[in-house]
Amino acid sequence: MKIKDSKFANMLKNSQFSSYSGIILVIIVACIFMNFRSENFLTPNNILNILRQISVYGILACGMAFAMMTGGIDLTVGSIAGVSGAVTALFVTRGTMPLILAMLVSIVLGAIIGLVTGFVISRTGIPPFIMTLGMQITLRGACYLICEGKPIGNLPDNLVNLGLGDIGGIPVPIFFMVGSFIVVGIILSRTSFGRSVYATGGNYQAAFHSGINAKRVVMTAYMISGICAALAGIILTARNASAQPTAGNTFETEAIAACAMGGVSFNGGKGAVVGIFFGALLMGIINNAMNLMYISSYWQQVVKGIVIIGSVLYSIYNSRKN
Amino acid sequence: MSEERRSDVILRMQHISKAYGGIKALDDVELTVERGEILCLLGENGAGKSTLMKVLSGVVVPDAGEIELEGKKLDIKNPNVAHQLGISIVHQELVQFPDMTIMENIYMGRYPKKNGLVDFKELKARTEKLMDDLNIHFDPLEYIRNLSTAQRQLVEIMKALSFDSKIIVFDEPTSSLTSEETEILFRIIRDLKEKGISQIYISHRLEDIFAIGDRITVLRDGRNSGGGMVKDLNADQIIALMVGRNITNQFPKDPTEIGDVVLKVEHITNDRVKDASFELRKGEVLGFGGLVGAGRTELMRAIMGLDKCTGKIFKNGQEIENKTPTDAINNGFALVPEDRKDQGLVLILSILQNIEMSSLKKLSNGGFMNVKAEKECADEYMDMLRIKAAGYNQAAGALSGGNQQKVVLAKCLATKPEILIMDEPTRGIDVGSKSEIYKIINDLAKQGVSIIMVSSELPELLGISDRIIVMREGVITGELKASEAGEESVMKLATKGA
Repeated sequence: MKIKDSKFANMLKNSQFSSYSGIILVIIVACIFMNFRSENFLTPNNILNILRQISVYGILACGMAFAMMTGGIDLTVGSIAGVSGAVTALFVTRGTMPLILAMLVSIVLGAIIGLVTGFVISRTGIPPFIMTLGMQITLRGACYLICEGKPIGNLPDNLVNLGLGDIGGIPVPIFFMVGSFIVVGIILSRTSFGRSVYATGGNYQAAFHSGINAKRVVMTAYMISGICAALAGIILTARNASAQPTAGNTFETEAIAACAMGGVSFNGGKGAVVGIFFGALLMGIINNAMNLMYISSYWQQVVKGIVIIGSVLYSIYNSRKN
Repeated sequence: MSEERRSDVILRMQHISKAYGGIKALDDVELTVERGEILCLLGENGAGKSTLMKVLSGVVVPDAGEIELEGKKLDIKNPNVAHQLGISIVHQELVQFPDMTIMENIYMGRYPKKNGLVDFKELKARTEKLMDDLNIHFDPLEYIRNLSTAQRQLVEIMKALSFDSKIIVFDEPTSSLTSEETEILFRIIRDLKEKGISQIYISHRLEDIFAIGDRITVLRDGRNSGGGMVKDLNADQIIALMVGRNITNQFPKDPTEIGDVVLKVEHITNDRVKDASFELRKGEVLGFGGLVGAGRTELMRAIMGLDKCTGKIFKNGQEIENKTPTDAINNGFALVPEDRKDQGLVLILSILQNIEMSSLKKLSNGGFMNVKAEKECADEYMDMLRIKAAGYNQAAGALSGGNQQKVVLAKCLATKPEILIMDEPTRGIDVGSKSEIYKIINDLAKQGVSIIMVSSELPELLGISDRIIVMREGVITGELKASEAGEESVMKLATKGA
């Protein structure tokens, strides 16, 4: 059978698209099932609700994807989010710094932390898991120190609005998430740096032999992850209307899960923004659906874990078949 | 072989054949070893020595043939059986557990037990006994990680002896040893011979063979090409047995106009290359001959900025520095590496992404890829090199070896190099792709690209090059005009030095 050479047919033939068939199927089945269970599920309000809920994870996953695509992992993202939220809150409550400047400082701080992590990983050969695990613990401690162990509250309205406000009925966090996905999508698919990320993650030696500055690519990947984490931390703080010293704790697992379900390879070199979005979306749908069905949060965790394993197993099975 | 000596034959391999796909690695090969004899097995790279030894150790099951050990027919199926029957191989690349002790490595999987637990006392005693037998003295509790290559080799020999081996095979044992270490090894080999243990010694180094060998057997292109007692042969005769082959006109070498000196390399030195200097002219194909491990790859890596080195590089009379591969590429160099799967390609990425890998800067604008230009680039080189694929979106890993090599070449050519270095450009690819690559080399030289080709295949080296430099143990041992060079003269420089 010959498929016509249309854009759509090309998309179907594209191996990347076919690797998402599994997760798309799961999302569709979940939606159909929920539509019968609860008439509130497929309403515009609830859909916006889901998107708002996945905003923080989605932004974190965007950054995580870079670390994973170079063949590493970044366990610091939850802690960086905590630090950046605390720093932003501190500057706008205790100081007189304008919000936009405080955000900028936090994001630059996230970038520097990521750069340091990436520098050590790329120069010394320390396993990324260990390096980022150590940084995660260190930064969490720093977060408690910044907050002096207590939540920072009484945030100004303009900051809180970033998490709880809306523009034309659409919650603000969604704009940040969509913006992150677009920027990261462009970096990965349209820039020479993006090409270098795939090459370095796919075969470090070949990339190095080909004249790609592989060390710098790895370093920059962690820097981008740090930037995304800092942004996510600001949104998270705004949504909570306070900076908690524990904010973002264990969020790295959610980001890794979203990437894994979205087809980002743990061996590096594989992954795309579309998949990461689907991964984050599926996580949000599972959470939301179980809330609507009044399933206890303990059971939610049990189910979530199983779905993560199942969807990755499916993608392994699928790629073997190809 | 006379009748009365036949009784001394401990190992007899007959009519051994093995084919991979259409290529015959071994074709009706014969090999006999007598008790207490040191048999040297010789041949060029790819002559079938390793395959024959793999058959002997049971790693490779032959398509046809018989193996007799002490007159009994064997059915060698796996290495364990080979060990039990008394055949051990000391491999070129040692397979050991660096974080375990000497004694644990020697008796791996066969620890003496007491009450179901490992009896370390007995293990140590047995290891010490082995060391006494060989008159070498290490601490059995030393970790392998802390040993030198030579010491590790001795551990391998002890392991072989621990199996009560009747035959020990040494695969290029001296290639990474110093001369003193080699002497120690030779002493042990002679001791073992005294004890009546037969040894098969694989080496390229003729001096080793004259030092310890009793008899030689030579393989060429998967067949026996001759042999005899070492004392009856001289170096030239042995080399002739290894290479003597008729060169057919497989390499149509078009005469090209050779221009000025483009590249001048002076005193390149690092731990694998010693004081290498040479010149390369515009439009010239300069061949680098020598045995595997002669330092040719390392020299090219140093020039490309992949490894550190001291020395100077001049391009068109101006000194340049290639500190990293990125520098080298920017300076007009390109390398087709030795190992295309590990160093040349990203197998999971598309042909397009592989081809553009070294030219990302050229194909982008302010960091953004020029999508049209990258597609045109991929099309251009797929067309030019006749890469057979469904399209440039196909993953490089799905291509045949020959087409994969062409993708690596396309990646290099896309940088528009002035100096193209190719390390074993035709290794492991089919005959058709080989001749296509020869033609491409010819065409590039005609267009004024200067080419360095490292090759261990003598016919290819002689057929394609204008000039040949031969290396041995990190040193350039000679330079020959291709038109005047023969396989013997290259081999002589590669094995004996000037």
